[in-house]
Amino acid sequence: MTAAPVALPDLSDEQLLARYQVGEHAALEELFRRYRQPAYRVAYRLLGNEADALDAVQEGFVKALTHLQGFQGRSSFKTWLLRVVSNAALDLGRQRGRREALPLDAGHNGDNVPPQLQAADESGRGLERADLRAVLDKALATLSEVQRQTFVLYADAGLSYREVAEAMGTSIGTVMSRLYYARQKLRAYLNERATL
Amino acid sequence: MTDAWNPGPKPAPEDLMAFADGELDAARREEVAAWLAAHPEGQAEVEDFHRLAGAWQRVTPAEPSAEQWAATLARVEARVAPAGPRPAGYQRRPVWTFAGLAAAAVLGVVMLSRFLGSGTEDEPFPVAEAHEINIVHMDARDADALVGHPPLLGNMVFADNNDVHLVSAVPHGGDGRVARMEQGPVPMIVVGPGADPDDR
Repeated sequence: MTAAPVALPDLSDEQLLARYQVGEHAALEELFRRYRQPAYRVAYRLLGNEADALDAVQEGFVKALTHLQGFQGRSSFKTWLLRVVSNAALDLGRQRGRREALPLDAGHNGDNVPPQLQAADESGRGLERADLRAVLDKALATLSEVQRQTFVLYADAGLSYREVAEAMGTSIGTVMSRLYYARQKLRAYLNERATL
Repeated sequence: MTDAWNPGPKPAPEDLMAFADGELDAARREEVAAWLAAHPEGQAEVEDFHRLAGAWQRVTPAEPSAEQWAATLARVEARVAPAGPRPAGYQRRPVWTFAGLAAAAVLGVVMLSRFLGSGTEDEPFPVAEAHEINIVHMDARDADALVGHPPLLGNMVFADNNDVHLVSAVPHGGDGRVARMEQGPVPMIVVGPGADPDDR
């Protein structure tokens, strides 16, 4: 009698990477499925639009998978990947400049409003959300690059302080300091505009 | 010991933030909670952190569609393909193959350096010059085993002062900082900051 094969979602990242390295593409698909969402959220916040964020996710996965020796033994794949994705997003932002978000934020004039936003707009919440996003994007842009990266890794990727420190290759104390001053700046910006 | 009657000193602002984020360990969390119980005004700071977090969460970007995810994954797979599946019948080269090659190379360097008596500790003796190696084929998966230098390393030197004999120099462009130099019939461009006006 042989043991039943273990389903991919039950495998650890390390086990999936080992399988990927011997050519099992399903392992890559599982890793992608597992981390695409936090990677996308980080990239979206740093770039402000869907197309560029997906490009950064693609670039980040490619770089992480082709430079696996860069993280092994020093961090988890998750923190390594999210660091690489955030770096890719910052690089892309420098190359292309931050473009305003489409399509959700395009609905200010009432034209070209996507269906999901039209429905939300009936209650007024959709437009409020678009406005809030625009203000938060501008507030985020007031931060230094390293503050922005730290804050987004915490707030959007759902990493703990310890994981952010691991991803950034720094101490928890430094992460706390960056997060604190980032939030001070964000709060000041938002309070000036009576957004909070 | 800290409690509602003896709450201790005011926590650092970063500690209040970590308290709001649920990132403190149990002992520190208890200390901060005790301080907050005795200082309700501190609770406003904690609430500020919660308000910002709430605003941030309200505008979490919508997920891409299944088609967009599939297209992105396909592009990732296409770009990492060389490191992906091995062809049927492929056998990974055993680690001892590389270890043996490395050992042989080290032994060769040691023997050659003793025989020739040249080289320094700072400069490894070259086993072979770059022009003596012609890579006909290499599997991309073995790229990690490749050791070498990029074709250009360090500053590129075209000529030094002794190689140039200045016949005439005229200002070139508006700033006069880059001179066009002529040596006989062959025009030359000097790359660099140009001559200091005081040196003219």
